[in-house]
Amino acid sequence: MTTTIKDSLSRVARWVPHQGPLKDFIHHNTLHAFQEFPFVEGCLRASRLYGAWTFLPLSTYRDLFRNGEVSELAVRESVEESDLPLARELRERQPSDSWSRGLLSDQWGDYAPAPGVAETGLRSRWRSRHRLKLNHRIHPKLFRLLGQFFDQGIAMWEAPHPECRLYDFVRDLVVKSWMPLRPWSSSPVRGLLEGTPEHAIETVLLRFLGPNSEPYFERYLLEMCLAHPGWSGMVSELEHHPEHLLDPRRVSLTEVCALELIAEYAYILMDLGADFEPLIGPENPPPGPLPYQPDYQLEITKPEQVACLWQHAFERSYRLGLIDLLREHRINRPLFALPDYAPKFQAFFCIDDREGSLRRHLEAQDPGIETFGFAGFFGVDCVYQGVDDAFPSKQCPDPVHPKHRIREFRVDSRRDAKSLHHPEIHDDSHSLVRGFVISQTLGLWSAVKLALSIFHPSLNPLATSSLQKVDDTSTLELHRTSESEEEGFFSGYSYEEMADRVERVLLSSGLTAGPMARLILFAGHGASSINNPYFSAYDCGACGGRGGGPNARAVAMMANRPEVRELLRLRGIDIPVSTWFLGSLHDTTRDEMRYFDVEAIPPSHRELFFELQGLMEIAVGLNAKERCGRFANISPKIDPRDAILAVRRRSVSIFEPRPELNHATNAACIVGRRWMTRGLSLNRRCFLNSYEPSLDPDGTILASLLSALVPVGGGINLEYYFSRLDPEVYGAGSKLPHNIQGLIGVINGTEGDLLTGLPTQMTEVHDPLRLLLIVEQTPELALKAIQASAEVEQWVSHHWVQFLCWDYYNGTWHEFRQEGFHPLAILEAVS
Amino acid sequence: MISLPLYLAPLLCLFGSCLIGLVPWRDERRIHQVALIVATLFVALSLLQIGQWLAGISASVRETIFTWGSYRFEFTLAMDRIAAVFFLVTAVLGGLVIRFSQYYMHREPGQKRFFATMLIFMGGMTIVVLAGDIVTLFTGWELVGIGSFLLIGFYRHREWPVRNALKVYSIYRVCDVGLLIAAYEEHRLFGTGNFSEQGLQAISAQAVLPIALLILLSAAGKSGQFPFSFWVARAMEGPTPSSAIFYGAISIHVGVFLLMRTMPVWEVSEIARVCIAVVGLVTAVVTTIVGHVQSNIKGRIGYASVAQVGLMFVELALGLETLALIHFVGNASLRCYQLLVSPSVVAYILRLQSSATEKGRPGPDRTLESRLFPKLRATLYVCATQEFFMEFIVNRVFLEIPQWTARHIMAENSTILNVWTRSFLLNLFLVGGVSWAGRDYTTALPFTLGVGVSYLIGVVGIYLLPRRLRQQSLDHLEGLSAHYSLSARLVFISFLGMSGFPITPAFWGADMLLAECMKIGLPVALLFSGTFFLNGIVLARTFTRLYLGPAGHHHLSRPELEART
Repeated sequence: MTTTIKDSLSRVARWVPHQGPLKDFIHHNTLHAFQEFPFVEGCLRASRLYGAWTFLPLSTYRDLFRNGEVSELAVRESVEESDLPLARELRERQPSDSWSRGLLSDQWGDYAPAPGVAETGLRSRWRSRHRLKLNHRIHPKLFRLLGQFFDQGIAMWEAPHPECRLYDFVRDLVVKSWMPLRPWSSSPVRGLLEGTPEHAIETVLLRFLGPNSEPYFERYLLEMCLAHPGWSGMVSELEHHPEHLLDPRRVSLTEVCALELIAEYAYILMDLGADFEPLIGPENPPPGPLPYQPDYQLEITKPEQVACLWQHAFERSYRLGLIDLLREHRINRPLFALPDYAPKFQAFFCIDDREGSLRRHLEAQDPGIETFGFAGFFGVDCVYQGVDDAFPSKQCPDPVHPKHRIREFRVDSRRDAKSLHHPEIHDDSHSLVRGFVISQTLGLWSAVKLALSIFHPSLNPLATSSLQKVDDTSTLELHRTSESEEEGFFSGYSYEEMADRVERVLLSSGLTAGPMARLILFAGHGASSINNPYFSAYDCGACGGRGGGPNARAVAMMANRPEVRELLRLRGIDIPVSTWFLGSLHDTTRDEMRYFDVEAIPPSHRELFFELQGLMEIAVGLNAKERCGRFANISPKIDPRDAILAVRRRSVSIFEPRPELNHATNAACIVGRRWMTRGLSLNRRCFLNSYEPSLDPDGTILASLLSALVPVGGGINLEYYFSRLDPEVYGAGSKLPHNIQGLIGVINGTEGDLLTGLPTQMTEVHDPLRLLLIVEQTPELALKAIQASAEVEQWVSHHWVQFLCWDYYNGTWHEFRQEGFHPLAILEAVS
Repeated sequence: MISLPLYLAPLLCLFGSCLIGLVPWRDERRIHQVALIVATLFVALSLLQIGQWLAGISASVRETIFTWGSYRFEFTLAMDRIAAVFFLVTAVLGGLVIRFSQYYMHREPGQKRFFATMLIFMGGMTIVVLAGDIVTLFTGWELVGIGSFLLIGFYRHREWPVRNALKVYSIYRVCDVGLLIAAYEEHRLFGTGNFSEQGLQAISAQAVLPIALLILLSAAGKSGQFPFSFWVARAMEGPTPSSAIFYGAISIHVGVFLLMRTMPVWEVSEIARVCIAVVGLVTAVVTTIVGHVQSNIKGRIGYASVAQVGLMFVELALGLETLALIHFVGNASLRCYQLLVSPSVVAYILRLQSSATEKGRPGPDRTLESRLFPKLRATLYVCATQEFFMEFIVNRVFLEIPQWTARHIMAENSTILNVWTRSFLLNLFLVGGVSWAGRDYTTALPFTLGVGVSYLIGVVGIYLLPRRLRQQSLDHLEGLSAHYSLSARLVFISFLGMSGFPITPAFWGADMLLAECMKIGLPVALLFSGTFFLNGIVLARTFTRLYLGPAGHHHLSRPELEART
């Protein structure tokens, strides 16, 4: 019996959000649990479970159509291809040119999501039958205890015994305290705390649901957990990954459920007396199946079908436009073809959608500049410990488990660490006596500080910036000298291992297909912001939500090693002696470029470096100008110089909830040769991954690219997608009232549930479009690459990303539909 | 130099607020322009007026707004040292926060409401600090209260902000009654509500004590002193700048101001001074302990601020007015800044924790706690977690009667029209009773008219709702304001009018009636103000339940609704 409770809860845990603490914020598909269903079906089932929006409101689609963002042609295609009953009806009854009129009409009414199971299910019978508002009474008390137990450094007093489990912590308080801990101390339920949590759950649920009600236990627990998805999700995440916390806590979802049930029992006994009717009985039939169960009858209402058709048309519109753009570009290709001689500079950037525009501006400076896109960790899978760090942190994509540690140490020891303290935010002012002294003395000073930070924002200790990690007096400990592991990591890499990493980057990006430039740049990226709890979502996703500087620096150092070059030569990659690699960091918020190890650049390359630096300054300015065009409160005609000042000011302004727009508006991912997109303005909407199809005869390189690209890119895309569709259920709502809870999450007010997903300030300009993956390869090899990984196959075949293949031999387009590629009949829309 | 009349500053804010009300909500630029111009002028005006006062040019105002028989309603404003300090801090911090909010609130739906309410608050606060008599002060006091209610419930489509707004409003209402009765006791005792005249009279300590205690009740409630401290954390529901200016900086110190202003009255009573000191001291200790276990940043700052306010109470009880003034300025600036930068705390502490030069967790204060015996420690922790049962105590002592009344007399679970009508009838009954007892029917006229007109506005608002919504029971939050905003606005105005909100006719009417009651005797006055208090809470509850909260599916037609459930 005990095991069944555990099993039930592990099944329940699947349907709560999986989001770690703030410091490890990593984008992921909000509806990951529903990926076993095809996309639309999964979204609809999720909407029934959580009570969330599946599509935008119909009025929004109508506006999009009127503004021309959804084309007539796309609507036609969407209706033609859909197998929804409404689409069939339209196809049969009406000529194709009146479909959009049919969808535009008001006859469908509008729709809103029905409440989820947490509000309408079994547990809600307490409210509907007995007028008991359990959530109102229990949530604040439960959240407060959980908050104090998990706190990572906000409270001045640690919870007593943080080393014991949550359940024991509460029991200890109840047993030891002279004052009651309401409602757990009340006498009828107190005894339950003595046993195991499983026992408590069983006892209480049996009493709540009546005899022989075991099959419904899981349902009740699910409804209870979904009433506070944030905390349930956090607890279940920390149960399996305690390493997310610097100060680990031992906890399980079972304990939280047991505590909550005991509290419910206490209130029910208090209000209804001991002989209340169970929730399931002869008059109260058990509820039907849950939305994710196979026997659930999923019905799609008429307005939802309309919205679904609109949504497809919306995606289709973007897709048609992008295909047209790429096809036209292919025809014009000779204009952009690379010269035969070696390029002047080559530069690697992260595939991130924010880097696309910088690459375009940089290339526009000189036809001899060539850029490549590669996931921003540049193959260096490591944990990294900077000079100022007390412990290492992971610097690679989430699915990768690093085995190596890179350490930074300081060459010049004269430089001291700066003081990090900030009296206004530090603990001192919160105690009574020190608070008295501080407010009597420093108090007025903070008004001055406030005025300064409003009228003249400048960098201060409160800001976070990836640039803080750039240190020109340090170097990296890269080469491994001993084979022993330290805390589970090798310290550094052997030359063989370095060669593997460098080879991977150079080969899969297609750099080796042509001559190499004398100076090759690796540009990682990071972000700067202040007053922003989501700072880690702004950094490089491929570096585990951290700045990509260390990785860029490491890969450049590796590639400069003669030993590594020698090994690569044996493998057929000949790096000329005259080629120098340089690491750098691009701050995407401040549009600022910093270079690593400038001192080490050989004198022969100095001149070249200065030239690159100069061109980069211009490119960065133009990039800032392009970004400013998107901020409603900055004029798009701004001068590049002022644009840089404007974006830098944003990054240090405490009043700026949008330091940058991050991944908002991301829509596509193009895997292929750069000339497909070189010179094209993609509006910062595309992830750009360099890939040379001709160097990959068996599709293994593509398969390894996709295995990281699809979950990471798709995860970013879908997190934005769902947070935009329902900012309150899938997203975190407006950022403005947010309050930091225990350093692990944000809440509204002081006693709300933890919020998951992205705040509206990050998603409001986003268009919810599934990631459109365009791969330049033959359909056969692309299919092989997809099937190489079960995870990628699920993403693609269930349409959680849209997959297009562009045959690099003949330029034909293929679309992934049921189990394989089908040639895309491109409708003539160019004219 | 021409001396500027003091009423210019509050008038400017209220005027600005109305002006924002006229700007269409889509026009963010215009809203910001108005708010910024008003805030800038306000700051300039405050500096000018304080300058004038320093230069010895007195600009006090004493206007009789209207007279009715023997009743005279006066509006008195005056500047002195306390007023100057509070005025300056309000203007400067308020101005900074408005400037801050222009960027911060960019694209936020509802920012029109936000800026309009902020200006109302600043205007109300200015009236409070410049008030020369207690009725004028009460006018501002109410404006501040309603501003609080609106900004806590800023996210009106969510359940908790609305519930907490109502909770705080109820406590404010307790303070209002305290102040109202105190005002009339003062009138009776001193023959005037004017602060400058009160100090001149020698009154025995014993006679002053009830007034002092009532003032203490109001001050403690409004400043989150024991046992009301719990509301300060609950109030942190609005956008951060509003929390910063209200619960960090200004509004939380209103109680301190009230005590300073009425110091000449209660100073003579030793018992009153001891009571004030005890309340302050208990608050300081209790909220410091509660603050130590807060695991969310705004709660921690809120409690730290309240603890300092407790110390200010002690300082005032000891007669250290200047120290309390300096303390106020420092605390207000510090907490305002702390709340505004509170989201930075994650990055800041995480950096300290992961920094090689710092050691471990940054300074959790384990000293006191770890020295205690396990039992005592657990007890202290349990008490701190539950805020020393303050909410429980306040509910029992102050809020159970209104809740009971709401449920049983006002039939709050029936339809909105029923509640509104009952409230109106209750008012009529009250007026009738008072006039009959006082044998003076003319005084009842303004109040009856005021309440009657408000009631009619409410009825119109209610009838704007579709029949099925109008007739459904008020069981839970319905969020109708999302789809029926005109109806919501009318009913809100009606609520203000019927609950005697200042600047509505019913307020002056109530004021006159209360003056009348005082003539008859204290019990009648108590009955009157008690009912007044209950009425306000019931109407607020009803309005909140029907119009605020998560929007349901009311825009769907009936068959659609049925198809879904």
